[in-house]
Amino acid sequence: MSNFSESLHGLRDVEGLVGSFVLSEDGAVLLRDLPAMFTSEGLAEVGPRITRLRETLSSDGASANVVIRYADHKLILRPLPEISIVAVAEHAINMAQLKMALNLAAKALARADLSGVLASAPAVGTSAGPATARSLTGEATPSAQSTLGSSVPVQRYYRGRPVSSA
Amino acid sequence: MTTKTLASLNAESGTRGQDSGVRQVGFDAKLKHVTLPDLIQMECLAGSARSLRIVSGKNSGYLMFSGGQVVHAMTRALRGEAAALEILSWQYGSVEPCSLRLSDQRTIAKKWQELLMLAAQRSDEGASEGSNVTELDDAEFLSADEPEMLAVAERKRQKVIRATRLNARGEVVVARGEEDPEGFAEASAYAARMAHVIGDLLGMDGFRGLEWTLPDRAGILYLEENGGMAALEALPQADLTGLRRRVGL
Repeated sequence: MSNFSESLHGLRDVEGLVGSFVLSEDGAVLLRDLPAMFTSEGLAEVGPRITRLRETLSSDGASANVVIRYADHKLILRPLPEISIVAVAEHAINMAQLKMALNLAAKALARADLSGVLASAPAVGTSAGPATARSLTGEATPSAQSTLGSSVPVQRYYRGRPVSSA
Repeated sequence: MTTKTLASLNAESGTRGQDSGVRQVGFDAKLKHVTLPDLIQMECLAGSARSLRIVSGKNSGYLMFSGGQVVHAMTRALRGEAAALEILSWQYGSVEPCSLRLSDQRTIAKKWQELLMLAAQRSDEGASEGSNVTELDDAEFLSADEPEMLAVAERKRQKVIRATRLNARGEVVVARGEEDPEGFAEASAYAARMAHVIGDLLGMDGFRGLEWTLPDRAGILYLEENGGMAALEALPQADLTGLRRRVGL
């Protein structure tokens, strides 16, 4: 766990980085290095939505690197096997530096043993109420209600549509 | 250049004329598929003294006319001749008269004919470079009803995998490409909604757009000023820099 923390903390060397966090495949927040104004409850709602966005944009099993641009900030999503790093940055951040820092963080996370963190990951959607996609699409998204480590198979989505994991 | 409406080109003077009880001579007009050089030529030959506001995607700029010449131009970042050439490089958009005051100081010394020649020359050079660096022409999906622009973009079209455009009501205006363009339109709309919600939850306002990269493609999605959105996926070697700059990402 401490290795993870150091990996994320290293991102702060890049000027303009607000903070970062790590999500599981289902959107559970595994680790965070963010200012206190980003509450755990808020992140618990954000995680599954970032996952759905990533799955919407992914293709043929490849996960997309995503940059979302807002008026003053950027959200950078770097997918890795089983997890994703999400960086919150100011608009003017040096993207080349950030990409390099993310590469290093990704290497450090890839070397680490994830099993412990994944096993202790909180249930997605349970800490912040029903963070389902019902209000967005009119139908609940099972992935937002699933539990990590559960024997219940997680419904996968591709471009907003359920797909077989087989 | 396609003009959404040029009806107001004479609207200001026409309105004043009606208010004062004096009937103005001239017609209001709605024109489509007019190029910016055409408009500049019309203004200069008419010897008009007024300003036009040009909007192209996220870009906007002003051209000011006086004494049969383009005397001043400006964009967000440029002034004078550089701004005029930048504006003349835009391929689509709308034009409307505006009340921007003419600068006392003329910032464009070239005659309008020289200005247009220079713009045309730069356009040719840009097209030549573009064919080598796989420049992407987004006109083919941005303008659904402009067949001539489609023809111009045809040579670059193979770089675009699929493209879509939705209006502010979420209706699909354009969905092109061989790879499930309708699905891409739905996915783009959903992705934009997710990005909005994520921003709201994190306290980050003003969602403008997003970009994504995959091993076999790169994508870009952006909001338009009219509340609609456009998105495309292109091959990795396609250069999205121009589009990114144009839409302010």
